[in-house]
Amino acid sequence: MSDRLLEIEDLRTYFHTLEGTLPAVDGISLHVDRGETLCVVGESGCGKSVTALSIMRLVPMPPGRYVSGKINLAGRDLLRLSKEDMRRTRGREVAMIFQEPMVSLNPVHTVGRQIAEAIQLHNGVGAREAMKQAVDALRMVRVPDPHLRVREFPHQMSGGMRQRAMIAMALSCRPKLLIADEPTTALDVTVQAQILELIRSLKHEVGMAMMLITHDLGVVAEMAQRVVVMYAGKVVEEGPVDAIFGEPLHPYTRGLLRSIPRLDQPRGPLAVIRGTVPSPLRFPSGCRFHERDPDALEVCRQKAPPLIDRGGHKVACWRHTPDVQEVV
Amino acid sequence: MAGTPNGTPLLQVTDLVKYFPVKAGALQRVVNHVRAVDGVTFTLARGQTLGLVGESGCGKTTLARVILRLIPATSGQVTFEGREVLKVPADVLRQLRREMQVIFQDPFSSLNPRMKVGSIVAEPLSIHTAMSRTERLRRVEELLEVVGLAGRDATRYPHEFSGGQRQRIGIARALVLNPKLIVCDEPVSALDVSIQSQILNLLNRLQKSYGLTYIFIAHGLHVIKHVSDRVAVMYLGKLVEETEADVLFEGPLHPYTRALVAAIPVPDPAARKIRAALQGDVPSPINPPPGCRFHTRCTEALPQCSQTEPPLVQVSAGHRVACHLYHGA
Repeated sequence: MSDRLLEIEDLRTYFHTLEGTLPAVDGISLHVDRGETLCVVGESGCGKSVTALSIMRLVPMPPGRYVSGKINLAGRDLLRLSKEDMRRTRGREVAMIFQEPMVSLNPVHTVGRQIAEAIQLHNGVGAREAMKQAVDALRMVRVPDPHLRVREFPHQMSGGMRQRAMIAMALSCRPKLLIADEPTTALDVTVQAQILELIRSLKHEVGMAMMLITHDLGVVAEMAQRVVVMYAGKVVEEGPVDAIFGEPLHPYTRGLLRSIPRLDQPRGPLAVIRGTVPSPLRFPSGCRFHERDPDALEVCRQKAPPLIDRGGHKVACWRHTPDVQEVV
Repeated sequence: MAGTPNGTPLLQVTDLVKYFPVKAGALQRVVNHVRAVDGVTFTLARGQTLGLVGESGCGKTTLARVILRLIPATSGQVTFEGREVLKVPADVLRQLRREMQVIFQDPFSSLNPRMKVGSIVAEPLSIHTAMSRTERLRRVEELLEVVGLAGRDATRYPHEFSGGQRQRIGIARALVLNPKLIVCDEPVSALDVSIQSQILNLLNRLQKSYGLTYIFIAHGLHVIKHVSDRVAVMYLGKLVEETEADVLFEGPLHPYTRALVAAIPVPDPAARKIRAALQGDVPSPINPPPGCRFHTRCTEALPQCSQTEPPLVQVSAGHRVACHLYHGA
């Protein structure tokens, strides 16, 4: 049996709006192995969240539409599952946590009831047993006094506690894959550190794989085994975390790494990536990054570069494409 | 005072307090207070940047608002170039408002969507000066170019701009009256990583060319390190440590500051470490813990920490700490 858990092939998720078609995810391929942590990095509008929602089949339709592609999870194409099968898959096979737990938790039910509901639905146990498991789930995420906390409503908890409750809910059915979309962005640094630490140890305890979506390269360096860098709906670079940070190939990845202020760096102007993130309504032609790349070649303006595998480190950039001369 | 070169400080804040009443019951009686800012003292020299850090709810934004007199203080003093900000009559306050401006976090909600960019930037001019329409327009176009936009952008609406460009519009508006002090309240936290460095460089350039003084509020410590000359760390309404930026990041003294610095994610996979130095959440500012407010989360708490509150005292030149570990030593 291969250790490939999730394999996305040529996924295109578009949104049809009055202003035109938004190719939010435009032909991406990526995979997550069993037990692995893959970080997906990119800025707003790069398609990282839509990729996550596509895996969960939570893209609102309309206006969204899966134009093409496959999402194989443990051998089944999620895009071909019936609604009923997909409902059973969510939670048990793949679960997701979001940036703002206050939005994802129901304010009128206690935290315990919400966790127990998921357990009842997926594990087919009775209400009493489900509540007992909900207490265990909160204990697992190191919530103090879990038997009291199950009776609390989301607004009675702090941001860090709510995120723990969300994680408890997501992990209550022991999914094989956890998708975490900016799980610590809304939290303070000290609480962020606690939650990342928690996620990391739970990953070992449960033995699941994780797809962590973030824009914070500090979080990536800390959590990832492999990294996928997305820009404007496409994967521009992919590789082991040490290669991405040590020898970034794509000018966008290099720019990102250079532009963050570092603690060990003297004050002075920061390196910048010029221009702005393009709108999905008006993605540039050719390589979508070419307008912001001072060293863009003529071919960059005209043709989109393919994702080339250079020994496990993939990049979509004409300057790293061996036969670029022939193409030009 | 040590650590304030360039002569007299531009801003002096002394024992500033802001309590918000908590009301309850049918009669809306005041039953308690949120101690948002509880006795803050610092000085800020001309042309310098004071970074203000702390977790959400520690009172940093409230502190900035009280200093600008956008909300009334409960007690304390704010002196801006010799004038008592909290006491001056309305006409002097008007003049002060020209000299103290603010840049907000969210460039999406802080610009009126129904106004053209030109009118947004010119609004302070029409309120505070007698400039003619053409003069105002010229000044607006000049400023839009200073912040890296085009003069013709004055005729467009905010929704036509990206987040980073909107933040530039907010900066142009803050600059239009030639202020001396600008409070930057999380100016880059809502922006994309590749845009943050553009805005930080812009703020840095403007500070140099106009001799601006900044109070820079951020929760991202690497940003604070990059922009600040001095840094003040707040916890539950109190300053717990204040010193030069380099000193603070290289040798933080207060256990809370140490935990904050340790919690900064480092963008280098080789430097992976256990960051979660601090357990638990920030307690409620309604009933802050007695003694040192941090003692409930402190790993080095002494017996007296839960009883007596440590004052903010100078431990070396220009370095103030409020912690029993460093007192009486």
